[in-house]
Amino acid sequence: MKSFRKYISEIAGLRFVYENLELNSSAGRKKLLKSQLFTKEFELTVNIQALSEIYDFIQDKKNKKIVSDICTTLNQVNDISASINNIRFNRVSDDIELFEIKKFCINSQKILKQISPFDFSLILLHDLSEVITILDPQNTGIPAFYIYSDYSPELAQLRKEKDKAKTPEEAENLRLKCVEIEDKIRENLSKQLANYVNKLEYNLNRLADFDILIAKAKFAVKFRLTEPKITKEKTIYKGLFNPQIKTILESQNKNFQAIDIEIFPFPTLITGANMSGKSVLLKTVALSQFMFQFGFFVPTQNAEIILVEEILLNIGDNQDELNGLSSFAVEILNINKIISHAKSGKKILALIDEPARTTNPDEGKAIANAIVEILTELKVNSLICTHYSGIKANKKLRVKGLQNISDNENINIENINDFMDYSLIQVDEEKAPAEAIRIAEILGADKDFIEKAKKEVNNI
Amino acid sequence: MPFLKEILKYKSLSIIGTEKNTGKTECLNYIIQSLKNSNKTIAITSIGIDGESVDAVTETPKPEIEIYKNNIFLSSEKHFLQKQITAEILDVSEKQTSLGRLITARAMDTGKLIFSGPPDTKWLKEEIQNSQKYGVDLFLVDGALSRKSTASPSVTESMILTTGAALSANIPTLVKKTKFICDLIELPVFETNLTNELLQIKNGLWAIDSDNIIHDLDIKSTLLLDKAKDKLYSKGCVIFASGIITNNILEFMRIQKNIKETILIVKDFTKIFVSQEKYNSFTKAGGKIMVLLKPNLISICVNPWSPRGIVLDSQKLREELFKAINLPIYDIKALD
Repeated sequence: MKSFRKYISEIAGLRFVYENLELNSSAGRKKLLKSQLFTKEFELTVNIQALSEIYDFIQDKKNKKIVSDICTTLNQVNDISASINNIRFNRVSDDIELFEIKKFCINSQKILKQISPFDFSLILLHDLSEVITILDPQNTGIPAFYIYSDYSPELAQLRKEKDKAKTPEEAENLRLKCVEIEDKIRENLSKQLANYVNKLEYNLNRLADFDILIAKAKFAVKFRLTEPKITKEKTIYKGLFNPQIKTILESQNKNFQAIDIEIFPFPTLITGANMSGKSVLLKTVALSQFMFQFGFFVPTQNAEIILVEEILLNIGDNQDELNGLSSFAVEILNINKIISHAKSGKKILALIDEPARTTNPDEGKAIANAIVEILTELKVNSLICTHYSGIKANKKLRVKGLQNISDNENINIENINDFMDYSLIQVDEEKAPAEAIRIAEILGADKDFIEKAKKEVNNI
Repeated sequence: MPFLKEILKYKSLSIIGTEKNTGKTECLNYIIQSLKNSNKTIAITSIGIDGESVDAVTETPKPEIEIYKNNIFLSSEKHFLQKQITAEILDVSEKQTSLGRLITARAMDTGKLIFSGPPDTKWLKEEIQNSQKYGVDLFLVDGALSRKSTASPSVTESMILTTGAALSANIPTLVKKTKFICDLIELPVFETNLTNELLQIKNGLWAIDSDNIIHDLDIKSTLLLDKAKDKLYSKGCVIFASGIITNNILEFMRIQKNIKETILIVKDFTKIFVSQEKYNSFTKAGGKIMVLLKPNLISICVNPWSPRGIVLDSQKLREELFKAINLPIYDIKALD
């Protein structure tokens, strides 16, 4: 299974999500990047519930100070898994590792205290005060460490003698004796700490989770995301939007038109003119499904989503040309993967943008029809965008697009957004909208070229 | 202890050599030793690797850095674990240097140390700020050859320059070369209320017109000047170079008719990479170079010994330098 880190570079918009997450700890960051899609309903339900708790917690204005305090402490929580593993395998820790464990425990205790008045179901921490006692013989509570003289009266004595040594040889001799005792103490400390390995690891994981949840909750507040419901029948989005594109449009004082859409366990065919936002729609559905299954809230007003085992896409922008594959070859391989996964009985979501668009239209249409047919048979949750007419499907939607606009309206590449209605309507006809030449004209294409195209189209 | 009082006026000090083996480490050791009973908290680090027992460049033995109880030091993981003194770890960085993470520690006894600090000035700056939480009164930075950027006044408040026979075996040449470096360090400050704004600028050449307005000259680097000669003086003769300056901009400006009105401003002396000859012809023609920030150059320390076995007359060297530079000049070894 791929990790979040992998998907960041593959799924449009996921990098934007990642870069806008305010993670505080290296432990949290590492855990998120390594995390995989939730595919079990129980696990995802628990996660959504935990996120929901944290969401309410940070939304509450009276918690502002405590949230900022917790974040400051989390900032100090490093990923100490390597140091923990050293102890687990009975290796002797060096001073740096002992320091890290001590600092970790001090911060863990701090957070334990900070969250004690609240009742978080997922953030339960072990009390690690015993570990601190082992590593803080002077009981200072300060995150600092060395082999303290308090560990051994003999060491204390030798150190005193060394300070008073009269010759360099004597000092060196005493130093070597000290080193010997210090090594024994390190060994002994490592042995004592071995009893706490599981608790340390558990707390490290919970603190990483806590950091991730806070970051997700803050992200949800900032971008007005919604808690999704897990459903079985069909996925329903009301007011779905793309957080990244919305942010860019808003910075230009433009609006992102949110979309309502449903996804059934069979293909829904979507047609629409060029520039009517079909690809953005598919990418946004993909992003939302990934966010959902990585335990985020989703960019919509209202969402009921089917949990799937695989999210499979065929949405352009592929870099596979670099691997020597033509765009048609990449597409066929993607479609084939969808079919083989579906045939193996896996529950999948398939999002396919303009299948077979890069081959001759007659065969292309046949291929597109075959895809719809087989995905219908296999009951695949899917959306398929196309420009082809004559594709048979149980459900067809069309982007409204440029409708009811008088011919003398001055539409151009700058303002086309304002005239485009991105919402979807149900249609029954098999003919796809023919607005390509009009859009080309709006884009400011050469006049002779447009005239010739218009002539050609009239001859058909 | 002649210059300690002056040093303690500042929170941070970097020691920069005009050349390897000009006594930088000895100077650092001298300062640390002199302050050991002063109840001041001292932090010590170097930029990049330092503290090797044998000089990596000339393979000559090199004095190690001796630190005392309660001194704070910053060193990479590799050198920290090789230490022979007892030290309490105070912090471990998350970032890595090429020699592991950076460890901040407090010495619990006295001893010699090999250490390597943050690899770049940005990180060094963060550590200097960070050290405030341990109550550090003075942060000492052992600058490295060709890394004079550590002495940038945006990083450390004050500096000491070391020079000596390793730079030149001939006293007049040594004085001439050292004086040139001092001249650059002591360049006058361009007084303006735009200082902070100018310091933020990351690249390109800019002009400040007579109405005190900053204009982007749309010249990305002084190295690209050849393609944009007509733009340079389009907004007046006060030019700010946000990056480094090299010979070519001085040469170009020198032959322009408005050279006498030209003021070329840089962030600080560490941005200047010009030869003495080109600098002299530039200033002789009437051009001026000014800085936004100027370090507090406390003194110059000389090392009359060179690794090749040349020994200069310390007394004479100091006198000649003083005549030329007019700053306190010390020979650390001759102080005892």
